Amino acid sequence: MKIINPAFGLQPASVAAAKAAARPTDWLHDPIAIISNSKANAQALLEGVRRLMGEFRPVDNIDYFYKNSAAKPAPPDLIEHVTKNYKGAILALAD
Amino acid sequence: MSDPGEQEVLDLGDMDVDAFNEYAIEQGWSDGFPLVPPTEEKVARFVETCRGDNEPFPPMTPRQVLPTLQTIAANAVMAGCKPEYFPVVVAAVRAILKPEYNLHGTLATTHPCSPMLMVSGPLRHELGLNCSSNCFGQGTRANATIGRAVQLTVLNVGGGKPGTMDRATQGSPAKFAFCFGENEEESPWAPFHVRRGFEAGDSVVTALPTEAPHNINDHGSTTGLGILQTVAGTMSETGNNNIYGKSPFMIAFGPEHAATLKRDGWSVEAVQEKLYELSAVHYSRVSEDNRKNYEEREQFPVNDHYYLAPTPSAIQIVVAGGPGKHSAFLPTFGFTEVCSVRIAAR
Repeated sequence: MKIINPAFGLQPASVAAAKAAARPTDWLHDPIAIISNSKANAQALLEGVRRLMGEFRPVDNIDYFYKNSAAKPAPPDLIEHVTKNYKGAILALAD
Repeated sequence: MSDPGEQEVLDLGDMDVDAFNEYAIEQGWSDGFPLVPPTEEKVARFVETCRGDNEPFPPMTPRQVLPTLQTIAANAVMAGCKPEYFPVVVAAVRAILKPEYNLHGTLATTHPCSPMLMVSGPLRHELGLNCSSNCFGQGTRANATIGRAVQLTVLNVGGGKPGTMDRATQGSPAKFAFCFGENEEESPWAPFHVRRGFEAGDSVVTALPTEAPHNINDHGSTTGLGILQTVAGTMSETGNNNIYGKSPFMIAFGPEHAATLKRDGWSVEAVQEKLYELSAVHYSRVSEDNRKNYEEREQFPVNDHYYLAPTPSAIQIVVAGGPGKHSAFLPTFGFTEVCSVRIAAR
């Protein structure tokens, strides 16, 4: 039996180019973005993560961002800023 | 008409249908019900019904890959659609991919919303869509499989897998399939798509992320006002997402309730105004903790009431169903808009 893959999807050109250019993130030194969905428990969790990472990282280059609404995707300008300026991002989904 | 770049063919060897279903479950492609194998021949027949539709699709969240007609067709075949249903499925996918529908939010939320699809216009009858008795329920192939095809597309192309990227706390039976036809013939008002600016001869699919329908029983009221009081009383719930997620939601009047409203001269706008006022939740019914929660979301009572809709016109009024003294309330996730797309002529 030959079938058409129901999970097939095309990769947007911008994503494909970014993946090709990417190198593995150095979580010890690279700039990191922490992004909260603005729910209280997510913020508490992420603030703890930031504090713990700060204890062993030699550089202070973790920045904190908030989405304006937990119910909507992050605004495109926020995503663009993070992708241009950071090598890694940490998110939390906590209700 | 098959562009090899728009699809991926998988050779599954000597698999029969039973083995295919076991394989599909292992791949995470199934909603739990058996699937029809999406063979090359069947998918090609479906795609043929959309010949000339070259409008690209935007990325589907959360996987952020671009759907193709072939991939959507594979999901429609698996759902049990007939080829002639496929233009409706394609239009529905386009509707839920509109940014204002907020597909990402509807999957990330713990609320049990699903894509409610309502078809208006002449195609309802050509396809045998049920607009009458039990239109929200089982028993009609077009209703069941069109709704299912869209859900399977969200699962397989979008990656909205239950428990991982579909975060609903309890989910809903409507997440299997939720598609029905508007009962235009028994509606006292203009068809929904005409009120939204389409031509009467157009066929249109409207998508809204709603809960499963909440029944409204009123066998006693003999006036339009009485029926509206019952409808508003049922809408006026303290645990309703629309208290703080102010956005459109839907009231589907059964034809008998609609006939009483017609007899008493209620226009759509007058119905919306009355429901808006009568359904507001008095703040004293909301727990103190939850009031604080709403305040943190910048939702404050107005004249001591929480209004469910941003404006009266956000209450979407339609007629659906058959004989009986019942109507339905379809609350939404909130943070969304009504999205209607014309179904391409075949």
